[in-house]
Amino acid sequence: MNCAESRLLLHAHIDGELDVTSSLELERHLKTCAACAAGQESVQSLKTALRGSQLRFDAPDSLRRQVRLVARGSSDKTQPGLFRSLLLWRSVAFGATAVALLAILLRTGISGADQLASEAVSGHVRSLMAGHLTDVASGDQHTVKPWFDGKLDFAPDVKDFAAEGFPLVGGRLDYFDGRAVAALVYRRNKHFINVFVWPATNTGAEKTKTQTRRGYSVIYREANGLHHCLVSDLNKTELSELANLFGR
Amino acid sequence: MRACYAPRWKRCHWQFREALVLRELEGLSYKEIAEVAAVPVGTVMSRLARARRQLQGALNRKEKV
Repeated sequence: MNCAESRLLLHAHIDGELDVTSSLELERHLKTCAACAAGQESVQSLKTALRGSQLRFDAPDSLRRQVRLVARGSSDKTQPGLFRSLLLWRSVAFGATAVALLAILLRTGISGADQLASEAVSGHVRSLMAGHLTDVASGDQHTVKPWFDGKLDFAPDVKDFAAEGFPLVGGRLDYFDGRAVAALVYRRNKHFINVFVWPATNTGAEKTKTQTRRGYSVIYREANGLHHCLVSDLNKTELSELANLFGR
Repeated sequence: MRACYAPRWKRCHWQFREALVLRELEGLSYKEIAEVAAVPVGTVMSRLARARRQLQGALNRKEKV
């Protein structure tokens, strides 16, 4: 196990959500890697801090008053006083949690494109670390393209760009931007490139956006009625060469 | 969550915050969070990792101020 894998699996390990085999493998890595062991301590101390009551919102007085009024109006007068009190405080707690969640959810700051880039990088990293890079491993576009038939509600434009220095490695099904997408895998020397493809809702002018996320280059391109999101540890210049080949 | 007011955490996408709140405050399992957010468990894992990293960064920054 390397440090990149360790950094992601560490959270599931601490949360008790990792399978036994991976946990043992991770623990072996933590014994030999001081940086990852420090990361484990950091996550654990954060969890401890989050459990502290000072990090929770208290329900505002106005909400307490409203909940009391509602509870008083709807409560059954035959119920014992203790039960009514428990019901009231349960409602207050639920209301406070709802207000806290709403406050958090309303504070959005990152644009859709940023979110897409982050999701693309996560998908790329997962495909490499889980040993699930391809469902169909072939450099032949006439093998890869028909493989998607019946698995997706669109036909991705699968082409082998070996002549341009980007040989096709294969393809797989993936889940991206809230839907099933085609993930095409290309190679440039020793670098793997994931190209997520899904249909565009509007077929307007061509759009291209280049970003860097966690050291990975991400290029989003919309052309010929299809979205293409390219992710790789390759430099932006070379990755844009491949991006330009789509929708030629 | 008062730490939310730290500028860096405010920039954290709501999907990451959602995962963290459901896990740390509501105590949901990864599978339950995946059902609530309608995403695969792997995505929950990566969202939690990012949310914690960003919150840690926000708290560290606040401590320095």
